[in-house]
Order: sequence, then C-alpha cells, then structure tokens
Amino acid sequence: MQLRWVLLGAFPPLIALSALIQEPLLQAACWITGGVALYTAFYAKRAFAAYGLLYLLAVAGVALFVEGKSWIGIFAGWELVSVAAWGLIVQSRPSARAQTVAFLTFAVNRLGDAFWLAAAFSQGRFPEGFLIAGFVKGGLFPFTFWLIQAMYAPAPVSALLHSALLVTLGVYWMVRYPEWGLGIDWGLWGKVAGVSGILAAIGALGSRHPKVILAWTTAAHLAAALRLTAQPVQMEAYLLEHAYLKAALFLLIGLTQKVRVMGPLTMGLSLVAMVLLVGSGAQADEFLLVTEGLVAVSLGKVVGGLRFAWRMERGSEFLLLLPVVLLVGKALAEGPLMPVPVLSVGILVGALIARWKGGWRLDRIFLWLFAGAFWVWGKVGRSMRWLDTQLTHAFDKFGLAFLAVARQAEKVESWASGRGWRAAAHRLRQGLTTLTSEGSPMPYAQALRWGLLITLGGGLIWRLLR
Amino acid sequence: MAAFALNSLWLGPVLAGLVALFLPRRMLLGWLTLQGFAQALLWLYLCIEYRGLGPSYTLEWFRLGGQPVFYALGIHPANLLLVALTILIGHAALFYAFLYVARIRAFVALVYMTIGFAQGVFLAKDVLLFFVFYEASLVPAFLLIYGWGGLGRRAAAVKFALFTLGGSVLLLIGLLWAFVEGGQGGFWEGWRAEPLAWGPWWLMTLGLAVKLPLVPLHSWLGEAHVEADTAISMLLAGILLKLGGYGLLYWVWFQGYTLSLLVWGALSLGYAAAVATGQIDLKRMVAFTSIGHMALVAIGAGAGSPQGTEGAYYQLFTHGLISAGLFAWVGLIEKRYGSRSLRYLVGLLWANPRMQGATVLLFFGAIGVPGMALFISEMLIIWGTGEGAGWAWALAPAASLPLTGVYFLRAYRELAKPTEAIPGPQELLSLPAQEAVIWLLIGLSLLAGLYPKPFLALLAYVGA
Amino acid sequence: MWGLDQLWPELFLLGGAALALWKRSSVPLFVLLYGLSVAAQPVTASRLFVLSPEAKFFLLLVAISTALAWLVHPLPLTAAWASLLQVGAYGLLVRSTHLAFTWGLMESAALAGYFFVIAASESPQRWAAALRYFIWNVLGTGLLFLGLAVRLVEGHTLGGYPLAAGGPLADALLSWGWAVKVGFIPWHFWLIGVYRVLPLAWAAWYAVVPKGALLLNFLVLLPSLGEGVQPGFLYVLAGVSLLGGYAAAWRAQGLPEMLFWASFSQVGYMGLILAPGAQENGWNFWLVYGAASFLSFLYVERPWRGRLGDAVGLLLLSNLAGLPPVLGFWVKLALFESAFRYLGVWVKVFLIGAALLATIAGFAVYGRLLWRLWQAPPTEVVLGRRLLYAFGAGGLLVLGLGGLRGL
Repeated sequence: MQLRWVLLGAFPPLIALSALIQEPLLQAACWITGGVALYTAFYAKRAFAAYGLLYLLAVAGVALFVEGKSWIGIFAGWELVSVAAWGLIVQSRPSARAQTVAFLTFAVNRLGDAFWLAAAFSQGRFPEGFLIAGFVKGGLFPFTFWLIQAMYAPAPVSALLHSALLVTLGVYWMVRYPEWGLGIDWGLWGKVAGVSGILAAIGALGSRHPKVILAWTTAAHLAAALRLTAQPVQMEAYLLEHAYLKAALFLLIGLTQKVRVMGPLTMGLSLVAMVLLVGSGAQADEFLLVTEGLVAVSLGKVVGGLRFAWRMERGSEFLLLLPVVLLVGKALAEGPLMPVPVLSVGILVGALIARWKGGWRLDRIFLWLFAGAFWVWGKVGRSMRWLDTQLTHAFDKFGLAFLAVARQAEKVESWASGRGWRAAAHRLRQGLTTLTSEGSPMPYAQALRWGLLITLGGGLIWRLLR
Repeated sequence: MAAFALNSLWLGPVLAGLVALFLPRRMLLGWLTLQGFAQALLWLYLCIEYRGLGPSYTLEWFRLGGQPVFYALGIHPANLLLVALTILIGHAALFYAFLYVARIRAFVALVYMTIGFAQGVFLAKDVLLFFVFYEASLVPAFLLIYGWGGLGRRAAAVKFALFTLGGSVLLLIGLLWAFVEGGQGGFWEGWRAEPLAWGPWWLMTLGLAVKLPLVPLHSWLGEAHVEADTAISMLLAGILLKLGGYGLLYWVWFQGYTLSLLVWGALSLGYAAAVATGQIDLKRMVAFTSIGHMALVAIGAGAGSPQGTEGAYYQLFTHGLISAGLFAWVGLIEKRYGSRSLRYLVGLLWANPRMQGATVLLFFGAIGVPGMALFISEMLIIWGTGEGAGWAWALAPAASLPLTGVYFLRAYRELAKPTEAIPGPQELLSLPAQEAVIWLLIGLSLLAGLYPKPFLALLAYVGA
Repeated sequence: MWGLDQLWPELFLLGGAALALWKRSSVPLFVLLYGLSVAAQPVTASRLFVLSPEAKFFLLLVAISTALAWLVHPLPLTAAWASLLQVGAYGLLVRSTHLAFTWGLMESAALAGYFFVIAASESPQRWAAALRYFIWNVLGTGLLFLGLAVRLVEGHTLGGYPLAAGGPLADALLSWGWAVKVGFIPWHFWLIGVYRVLPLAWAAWYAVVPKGALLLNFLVLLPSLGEGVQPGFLYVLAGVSLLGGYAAAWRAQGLPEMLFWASFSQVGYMGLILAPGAQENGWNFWLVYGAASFLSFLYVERPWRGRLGDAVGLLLLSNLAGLPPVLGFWVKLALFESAFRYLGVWVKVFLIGAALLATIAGFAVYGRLLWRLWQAPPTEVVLGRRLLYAFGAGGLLVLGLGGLRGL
C-alpha cells in the first residue's frame, strides 16, 4: 500500500518539470502523465510501482523522441513508448486477453518500426517509411485495430498512451521533424487519411463501449491532423489540444465507471465532456474546412464525438442529429462541398450496417488479417520446427548413409578376404593342377606367356588412356 | 609487461584449469575467484595500455612453405571486448554451475581450458595461430557437452564435434589455398591486406559459418544447446559462437559489400525466427534466437560499411551477454520446475511474480528494445546495411524487430497466462548464485545499452 | 665404392641373431644398438647406398619400435630371426639406390615376413594369412621385376643416385608393384589378415615399419623419376584408400581393427605427396604418423584410464586425427600445403577433396574409437607402459607446440 506514494510522488515533480520544458509535446506529456499518475494512485488497486516506472518510461520515450540528438536516440524514444505501452497493458489486468492485446500492440508497432528504419537510411528515397510507421503508431487506417484492442487496458493507461503519448507521436513527427516528410505525395496520403476518418466515423457509430468510441475518434483526430502538414503551427496546436482533451475524457470515463452509482455526477461530467469534445471539433473545423475543404475527416471526428456523447447520455439521440445538421449546413454555406451529403449518407449507412451486424466493424477485418498473419506465422513456425527436425535428421541420415556405404565396403572386404579369396585360391590351385597335368589344354609355359602379354597390354592401355 | 599480460591471458586459464584438477574442493571457489580477478586485472591492464593499434607480442614460430608463421598475440579494438566477454561469461558459467554440478574439478578444468583457448582465438594475430586455438578450443568444449547434461548429450557432443571439425577442415583448406595461390601476404599482418579470392573466401566462410552458425549449418546447435548443461550452454552461446563470428569478421569478411552474405544472413534470420516461433522447448527457442542474432552479424558484415562492421562486432559482445543470461534463466526454470516445455510452464510467471523482472528484462534485452545493449548493435547493423547496401536491404535486418518480438512475446504470453493449474515448483530452491549471475548479465546488458559510448569508442575504428 | 664398408652396423643384427640362440631377451638390445649405430654414421652416398638424415632417423625409430614391441610381446626363436631379417632388409631398403638391390630387399623382407607371421602368431588362421601375404607380395615383386626388365630393355640403368627416369611403361610397372607392396585399397587383403593373426604389438609394427620403409624408398626414387611421371592411378588408389579405410574403420568391430583400417587411410594421405618437391613434408607426415600410430596401437591394446590416462589417450588419438596443437596436426598441415603447391589442378581437386572428406571421417572414426575406449572397463596398466604413453603423448604435444619447428 505504501507504494501508492510512488505514484503520488511522481505527480508534483512531473508537473513542476513541465515549467522548465520548452518543447510543447514533452510539456504536455509531463502534465498529462503527472495528472494520470495522481489519478492512478487512487484509481488502481495494485502494482503502483510498476505503473510509476512505466509512466516514467513513457515520458522518457517522448523526451528522447522530441529532444533526440541523433536518429538512434529519436528511434529509441519512438520505441520506448511502445515498450511502455506493452508493459502498462500487460500488468494492468491479470488476464490472458491483456497478454494478447499487449502482444498485438507491440508486434504491430515493431512492424512499423522496421519501415521507420528503412526510411531513416534511405536518404530521402523512401520517406513513406516514416509515414507507414506513423500510421501504425497513430492507429490510422488500416492499423486502427490495435488501438481499439488496446482499449482493454484500464482508463488511465488509455488516457496516457492512446491519447497523449504513443499515438500522438505517429503524427507529431511532422511537426518536430518536418524534413523527414520531404518527398511524400501528400495529396495521396491525405486521401488515405480521409478514408481513415470515414472509417473512424463508421467504427464509432458501430461501437458501444465509450472507450472504444473514443479510440475511434482518436484515429479520426489524428487523420485530421495529418491533413494539416502545410500548417505546422495549427497542427501542433491541434495535436496538443487533442491530447489534453482526450486524456481528460478517458479519465472521466474511468471515473464514471468507478462511480456509476452517482448518476447525476456522471450525467454532469459527461455533459462537460461532450461540450468539450464538440467544442474541440468545431474549433478545429474552423480552419479545416477553410483550408482543405475536406469534410470527411472532420465528419469522422464529429460523428464519433457525438456518438460518444450519445452513449454517455443513453438515449439523447437528438444530440447526434443536431450537430450533423449544423455541420452540413455550415459546410454547404461555405462552399461547393458536394461530397458532404454523399459522405454523410455513406457513413450513416455504414454505421447502420455496423450496428445491424452486431458490432461488425471494419477494423475487425484488419485485426483478423493481422491476427491471421501471426497465426499463419505461428503455423509456419510449427512447420519450420518440423522442417528443422527433418533437417537435423537429414544430417543424421547423411551419417547413416556413410554407415551404409561402410557396411557395403565391409561386405565386399569380407568376401574378398574370406569366401572370395578362398574360392579364387581353390580355382588357382585347380588350374595349376590342370595346367601341369598330362594332356592339359594349355601348357604351363604358354599360360605364363599369356600372363606376361596381358600385363604388358594392360600397362600400355593404361598409359594410352591417361 | 604487455607481453606477459597477453600470454597469460590465454595461458593463465589453461594452467589454472590444470591446477584446479588437483585442488581440494574447499579451495576451489577461492581459486575461481582469484583467477577471475587476476584475469580481469590483466584485461584492465591491457585496456589501460591500449594505444592506437594496441600492444602486441610477436615471435617467429616456424616457417611453412618459405613463409614465416608467427606466434603473434595482440589486443586491438576488434577483440578487446570479446576478451572481456570471455572472462566474464566463463566465470559467470563457473559460478552458476558451482553448487550443483557433478565432478566439479574436471568441470572447472575443462571450462578454464575452453576459456583459455577462446582467448587465444581472440588474441591471435596470425591466422594459423588463430586456427590452432580454434581447433584446440573444440576439445574441451566437446568433453564438456559429452560429460555434463541431458540424456542425449553424447550424441549431441559427437554431432557438435563432427560439424565443427568438418567446418575447420574446410577452413584449413581455404586458408592454405589463400596462402599458396590467393596472393595473401602470409599468415600474419599481410593476410588482411588483400581481399580473399572467391574460392578461399567461400571455403573459409563455410567452415566458420558452421560455428556462427548460419542456416543450414546450424543443425548441431539445437541439439548441443538442449542437451548440454546450462552452464555449458552459456559458454556455447556466450563464447564459442563468438569464435566463429570473430573469425569470420576478422579473418574472412573484411572486404566490402557482399550480396551473397546479405542474402544468406537474411534467409538465416527468417528461418531462425520461424523455427523459434514454433518451438515449445524454451531452451531450444533461446538457441534459435542465437541463430537469428548471429545472422545479423553476417548481414552487418556483408553490408560492407563501417557501421555494419562495427555493429557486427558489437553484436557479438551484446549477444554474448544477453544469450548467456537467457540460458541461465532457462536453466533456473528447469531446475525449479523440472521442465522446459512451454505447455507445462503455462502460467509460470502468473504464479511467481517474483520472476517477472528478470524474465521481462531478458526477453526485452533479446528483442532489442532501447536501453538494452542489443538495441545499439542491431541499430548499427541496420544502419550499416542501409548505408552499404541501400535502404531496401535494410529491411532485411529490420525484419528481426517484429520477428524477434513475436516469438519472445508469444512465449511470454504463455508464461504469464493466468491459469487454474499452476505449475508448482518441484523443489523450492533458493539459488542466489544463479540469480546473481542472471542479474549481473542483465545489468551489464543495460549498462552497455544505456551508455554504449565507451564500448563504441573502442569499436569506432574497426570498420574503417 | 660399393659402400659395403658402411654396413658394419648390420653386424649387430647378426650378433643378435646368434645370441638369440642363447638368450633371446638380448635381441631388443642388439636391435637398438643397430639403430643407434646407423644413426651415428655420417650422411653419405655411394653406388648402392645413400644414407640420408631421414633414413637415419627412421631406422632409429624402427629400432626403438622393434625393441618396444619385443618388450611387450617377446618372440620365439624363429620369429626373432625373421624379425631381425626384416629389420635388416628394411634397413637396407631405405638406403638402397639400386633398383635391383631394392627389388631383392623387398623380396627378402617378404620372405622373412612369411616366416615371421607363421612363427610369431599362435592363431589357427596364421597359415592362411601367411600364404595370402606371400602370394600378394609375389604379385607385387613380379610387377616390380617386370618394371626392371622393361627398364633394362629400354636401355636405362638400374643403379645410380639420383636415378635416371625410365620409360613410361617401366615407371608404371614399378609404381604398380610398389602400390601392391604398400597395400593401397583395394590391394590390401593380404595385410589385414596379417594384422588379425599377429600379436597386437607386432601388428602395430607391421602397420608402421614396412610402409615407412617403402615410402622412404619411393621418395628416394621419386625425384629422379622426374616431372614426366604422373602416377595417376596411384592418385586414384590413394583416394580410394583415404575414404575406404575410414569407412571400413567405422564399421570395424574391435578397437585394434579400427586402427588397422584407419592406417590404410593414413597411407592414402601419401597420395598427396607423390608429386616431386613434396617429399620432405610427406616424409615428416609418415614419420610422425608412424610413431604415433605405433603408440596408439599399444595404448588401445591396454588403455590407461583415469584422469591423466584419458588425457594421454586423447592426445594420442588427436595426433592421429590431426588436431592442433599436437604434432600430427602440423605435419598434416604441411602435407596439405605442399599438395596445394605441387599437385596439378584436377589431381588437387580430386585428392584434396578426398582428403578433406577423409579427414572429417577420420574425426568420426577416432572419436568413436575414443568413445569405445571410454566405455570399456578399465584395465590394469603397468608403470612402464604408462610412462611410455605419457612420454610419447607429451613428446608429441611439446613438439607440436613448436609448430613445424618441432621437426
């Protein structure tokens, strides 16, 4: 129990530290982590020290990433947050599912890291590697599935990793290290991000658990932020805003789950959350709509946010309709945005299908794809293990073949020195007897001459052949 | 003094082993400690003396085909760390095994001989002398596997010996070929002046790749690791594999970019990862991890860039630390639970949270996460591959990132899975020495990962 | 002129033969005296003889091994005489430079060997073995004889040092006869029977001394046979011997049997040195192998077990297998080196390939031998033998530490 003080002790220094830090994301990380540490000290029931250490590890990862002096330090930070995520998920719940989820998180992130490294050494020829790694880390389509699965972790973990630290890095690198992105076809990747936003909207509408809905909106927000590569200042502001708000929301969800009995409080808190969320969405929209004219991502975000509010309010469906109408109207008023109604209808249809099929969501496909890939790899491993055993046996068989040859050699040898030899000697003796006896077909002297001739002839043939 | 230190680095352990044969049991532990300190001091002395190319000791030994063969020992950037690693892992294995191993004096003697000859391999500056030590180290290693371990240890030992000896015959032929016809300037310093010709290069590579090992020449390793006693597995992974790696890096693979090596290393890596994923036997899994990590050495060397070579050398060192730790860990589990099977050990960590720390650190050390030593060396290798061979090739070593993660975390998931049927320890052993060894190796791995600067400063000129 | 005055050491052999009538145990002493006195002679060359340093050293080793074999297993009178005759014949053979003389000495050694096998062995198979031995030797000498005849017909002389090269046919016949006498596989049948019936110490003697003498003789003849002689079929035989010997050794039942067969493979390594220029290394190889092989036979007959004893056995067998740092490794290294230097390309590929496989097979065979040794229950070994083993193994190790300088 005394270990609770570890977490409590981590809170003030982290907050204090943020005053000294210039780097905005790191500052945010200190703030959020400090707050989450404080929260966890009351929220969690055990493993306080582990929480504390892993929180610090995550902050260290962010610090390394944003302040790294060389690529290796930056990459170390990039990886450390995934390690911290793995640790936080694994130790947060004593169940097999936690293991699986953590495994999934870590494995998918490492896959992205491989691309990151390839990009880092391509001298600008493969900048998409950074983007792929960022998509993985940020939980953008088609890698959203790990983020959704990771919601299995308790609220503070989600608040920390899946809002502020881990996922934000996936897009934040464009603010911190814009030179990495040189040469990327942003038009194309912007469209991919748009798809991410739409799918996030569908996913959010198709989900029930508030945390999962929030995770979908995270993907949508990051996709939206990705659209802002041309305006790094806004992008940074947007990401930070998202991080703070999302962390707060996750913590709120945790609180509502803990204090479910306190209905009015829940209601009040969730209303606050809704207002914050819609506010953030609206604020972001200001420049989103103006600059890019791409509604898809913001739709995902807003729809997701409203779905969240709806779930929290249990039945205030009208809330869903109102902002959609407002948004569509606003969009129509500001410009020729024909895709908006189409997209809205599409999203709603997709969401209906998702609901109708009982939780069928697009991320599941990719989850299954990846899980299937891991499963196949496991099977490959099994068969390779078998193959390796066969290989080992093959080497043994090589030895056995040697033995078989040796056995044959032994047979020949024993024949030649035993039975065969005796037979030959017998025949020789018989032949000599015949040759020297009266009236033999070939006189002895003649036989000797033949022997000499054959030997000489053999020698000559040998010489000539060689 | 430097000459004394160099000679006694290899001769000392051999003689210490002979002395240990005749010491009374109660003095043995003291003798080990004394030896350990003495060797560490010698190494430290050489470390301090180390300037530029480093101290060396050269003596004309005899002449072969008109060329002198030297008894030449020297310490240089490429071997300084490996010499330290040998002292460390050797003594770690000895202390690990000290309390439980049977026929302790013979064991100590053989381990010391292995250490001594391995030091000779690292220190030799004449390729023929290298070969002599390389072969000599085989005999005590063979006897160790033969004498201590599981039921199938004898067959495993024979297989180990035949594979390695077969490899060394190839090595010898390649060596002579290069010497007689390849234009190599003798066995000594001139050896590395010219890149090897095609034929000798392949023969020597094949010969030493058995020991590294690269797939498909690895078939001895699984058996030897699984059957041998834990301490011997530590020696095998921590020292003996490094002999092959060092031999290849220093004496064969010193030319530039080699595509065949990259491809071979990548295939070996994928194969080892797949087999490790499919393993149920924990020790076998760790053994295949070694193959995967050693394949990275081949990739790093094949990339033909300074970073790649540096990373390959550093990988030898870092992998020595972590794999010895992993084997020690598996040995501990086997001692406590009487099994290494993942099927039986499901829920082990769930039931024994005390083992979590070491397990997680070792696993992540082998996965190569930031902060652990293997991370640095792997990054260097990937970097070097990107520099030397192009970024697309860098994906080959980078593939080890997810692959290694997959099989280690898969094993971890099994071990940490909450279950009803918790495996109970067969005997409630408290093995402080063993745990101390594990934590020492973890600590060093952390040190070399968190502050790799002194290590890398040593290796900085290796690839150049 | 004929160099007969250098033959005074042979008087020791005669004296030994005479004294054997009265006290047989004096035979080894006389053999040793013979060896020592040959070794003390200056290096000379005359019409019939050339006494090279290699020959001196070899004869000293022959004397020592004969004395040792005698100590391990004393012989009856007839066998003692036969062995003295053999020692004398081989002693002259390694010095002979005249082909006719060589031929005669080989024949007398074969005759003496026939009687030796019958007299020294107590096995019921000894008659058959001796007969087989004799007939194959007659075949060998017959081929040699034909070679001499062809040489004379072609107008070449039989004597002189260095010997002039003969015609291709003559050289081929001579090499054939020689190959039969050495016992390359598949012309080895006569030898294995002899090994089986003789007491082990003397079988070891047989595995080492005659082959060494023949090899040395051949190496004396070889440089003069010149570049023209490419004993191609000898290469084939050497390859077959290299692989066949170890293959059979792996399957062999008893420990000595394994060593017998392995000795055929060791003879096969001679194929690597049949090119002019490589004699010295080849000779070193045989010398070291012969000495170690003799010791190994003795060791296998009565293994000394225990911590030190096992180490000694390990050293002896590592020497045979060619593992450093024992001397056997260095001589094999030098052998390979000269093979690389002097053999033609395809011969190199074939022979070095075969030798490579054989070396790996040799590791397996000697490893198996060691394994069997360590499985067997320990036996009582007298101190003298222990000292002998330890001295031999230690010597090989110490010399090996000096590399090729140890020679």
